[in-house]
Amino acid sequence: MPIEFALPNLGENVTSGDVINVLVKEGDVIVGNQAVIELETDKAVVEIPCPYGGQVKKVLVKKGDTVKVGQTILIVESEVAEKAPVVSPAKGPESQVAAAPPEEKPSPPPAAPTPPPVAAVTAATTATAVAPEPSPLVEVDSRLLPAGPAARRLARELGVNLATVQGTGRHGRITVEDVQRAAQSRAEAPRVTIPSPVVPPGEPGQDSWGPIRREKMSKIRKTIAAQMTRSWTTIPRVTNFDDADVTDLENLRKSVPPDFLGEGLKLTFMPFVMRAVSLALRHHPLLNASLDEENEQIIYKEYINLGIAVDTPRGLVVPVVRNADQMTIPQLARALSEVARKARNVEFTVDELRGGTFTISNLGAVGGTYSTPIINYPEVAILLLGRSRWLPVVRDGQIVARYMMPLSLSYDHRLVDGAAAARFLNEIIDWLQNPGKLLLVS
Amino acid sequence: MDIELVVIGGGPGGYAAAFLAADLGMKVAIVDQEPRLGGVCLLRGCIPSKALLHVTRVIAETEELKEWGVDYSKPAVELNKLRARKEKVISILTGGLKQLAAKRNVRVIHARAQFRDGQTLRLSPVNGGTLEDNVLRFQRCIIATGSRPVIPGLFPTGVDRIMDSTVALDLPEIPDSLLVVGGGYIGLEMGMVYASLGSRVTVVEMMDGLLPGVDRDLVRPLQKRLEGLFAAIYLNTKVAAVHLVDNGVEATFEGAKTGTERFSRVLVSVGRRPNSDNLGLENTKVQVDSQGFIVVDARRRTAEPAVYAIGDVAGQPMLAHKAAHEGKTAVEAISGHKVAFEPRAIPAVVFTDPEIAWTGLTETDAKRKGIPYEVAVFPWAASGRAQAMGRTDGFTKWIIDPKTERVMGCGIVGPSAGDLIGEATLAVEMAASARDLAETIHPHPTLCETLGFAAEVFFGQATDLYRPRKKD
Repeated sequence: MPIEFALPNLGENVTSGDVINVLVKEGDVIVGNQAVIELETDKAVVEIPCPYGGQVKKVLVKKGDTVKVGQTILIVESEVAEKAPVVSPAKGPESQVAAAPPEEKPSPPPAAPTPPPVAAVTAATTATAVAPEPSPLVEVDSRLLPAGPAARRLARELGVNLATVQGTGRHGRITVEDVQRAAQSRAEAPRVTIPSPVVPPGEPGQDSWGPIRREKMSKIRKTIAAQMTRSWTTIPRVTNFDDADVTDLENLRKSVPPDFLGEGLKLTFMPFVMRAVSLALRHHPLLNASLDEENEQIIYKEYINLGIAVDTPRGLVVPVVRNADQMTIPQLARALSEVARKARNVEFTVDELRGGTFTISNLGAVGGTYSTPIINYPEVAILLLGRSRWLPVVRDGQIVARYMMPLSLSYDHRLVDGAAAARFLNEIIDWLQNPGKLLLVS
Repeated sequence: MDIELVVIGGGPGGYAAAFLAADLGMKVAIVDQEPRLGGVCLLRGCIPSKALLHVTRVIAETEELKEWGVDYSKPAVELNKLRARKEKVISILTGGLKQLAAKRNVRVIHARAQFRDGQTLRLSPVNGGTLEDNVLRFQRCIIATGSRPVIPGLFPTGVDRIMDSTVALDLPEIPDSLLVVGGGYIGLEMGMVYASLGSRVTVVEMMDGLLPGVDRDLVRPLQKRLEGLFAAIYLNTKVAAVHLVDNGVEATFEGAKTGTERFSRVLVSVGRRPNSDNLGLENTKVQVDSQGFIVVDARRRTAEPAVYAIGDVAGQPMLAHKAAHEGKTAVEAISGHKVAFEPRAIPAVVFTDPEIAWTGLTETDAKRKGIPYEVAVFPWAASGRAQAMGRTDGFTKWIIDPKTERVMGCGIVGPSAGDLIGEATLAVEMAASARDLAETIHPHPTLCETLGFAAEVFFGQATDLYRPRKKD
């Protein structure tokens, strides 16, 4: 019987997406849960799996189309109208959300005989107002791959897609070691650099002065643009500049043996800065607040969720590390590496980009000293780290070389006065300049 | 009362989940309507039926010994003693569970639980018991309420002559004649027990074969044996009407077999239904499908964020070992691990004599789904051990992917098939190739050798079996 497969719900507030790629064509035979299109939503690029197996009769979307939730994507001719169990997305650790578990809609149970599939999809769509669904990030169906339960379990934990792992065991069996190697090589994978000269994307065209290319703005770029405009037109922003003497911190950081925190986990300044910011926010709740203009109220957040600005090939994203103030520096280092990995691999879910209370942006790896970062609305402040460098500094009447980290703190002047911001920044600097204190404080 | 994790149902899924959660440091409670832990499996399912089938098997063996020149007299069955001995097995095991729960500080609450909302249970006492608090707030809940036998409406209820599996396991008497309605595994296991204790057993099955869904070749040796043991097996036949008569039941058949026959008792074993009703699920976002199964995702989470469901109530197959693994998956998910319940193989065993066991892909499924496969069969007639036991009616078969030569499934029929299927399940989970099995040295002389021999058959060369080679 022919079954229509419509775009399932993709999560809170996501109503449509742009088709980046169509992964199947008419006549293809697909198995249940095979990814059929790649879709870019406001926040993330996701593969959309079709729960039905069978022959693809019709593909109703093409690259570049904007598809709404509930819109039919494919018609599948299925002999046995059997809906495969949907593999649910690998999500962040649940322990972090013990208080308010993320709402999810479960997949239909494997053994249930087909309820009329079209109706089922419709029902799921209408239910969204009440129960938001997870974004359907896909885990490749690993059941047919030559890997035993222990290897499959580890792959799930490490977020390794088994289909991409080369098995070294007998008859190509994927061993636990193969999975570990895959996870590690991925962590070490060099960043893709854009070759020069760069041919910009888009359709070639012509204006009065010469050839041009026009590219449709991606969803993520539109989201960035809207968010920046909103911040710029709403928030009277002021930026304070300062430097932290991180010479001692740098020595301490370098004294930690490589792989001390875990294989492939590099200890950078960031976890220390995150720790310092979290501690300072505890003492300066105004910087962790937001403004409710409508009700003329100040909302103080009793949780500290740090947004980390991550540069990805598709644009800027700000995944959130939750309850950062309750994490130790090693935990922060791990959380950061996970966030960076997910951002690079476009694996984060919409939920992982929500609920931040303060943002840290680190330009240190790229270069530059000071900048005037735009506040991530509705937050009220953002801290930008520049690249630390050796500077001549006067200490006790002597010029000495010290390793200095440039800091730029932008804040919403409606809520935060200049002196309050300076005191906050002073506390951050104080923590960074006294790493012993930073390590011992609980 | 506030609790970190509450598990509704103390069966093999529920207590496995509760114990793991407690071992991981959670504050855990189990709510069960039964005064004893263990659920259907332990109290009125797997365990008591295996105790009785053990007796059945020994009686059958004494008979088999006649042809070896050893003659036992006909056994005298003392029903009270048999019942008590079976009950002892249950009380030892359930007592052990009670101790294990106590040592782990798992609170066992004897009560009926209903959801008031997605975070709260309302408890009500059972059998006049008392409760210290009738509201239980939880951070997470696992529903493990299991299933119960289905009794179609045409059978009168509240009559001791019409039994479900629970009553049948209590061995109220050894009836002269017993009609078993439903030729599934429960009906055949209980039918065998009663037949070996002396009842004339008739089985009626609506479908065209016993054990619907199981590969036909696996059923055949069992059916042959049952034809000798049972008075009659009616296939393609329905019970159209049932009338209570003096000291018996009259059943009218419809289909391949027609007419009316009289039986002392009837055992209705037509299937089981998930216990998802009367839980107050309508006060939560938990969704239930058309068959009553709670809808869950790969981590066993329901549509209600803090509520999980495992075991029989969360979908087929309704098997204790599946429930236990689902329970552990749910608890690991709750404690923040990235886990999913996606086994390649869930073994199933019918504990008749001969036993039938299968795991992973079956031939029936492979055909239905159009999956290419090859079969390699080793008949037990060629096994020294089976000959020495006088039981050559079994065989071992692998279902193999012709391209990769990996084993996708296994089916075994014969005594101890249920114990042999473990190796096969590991092989399927590990994606072992037929070569792996053929080159693994199996002990001689055993029945598990047949797993290695069947793999040799796939390559066309088995020591104990001569077949002209079909391929080079």
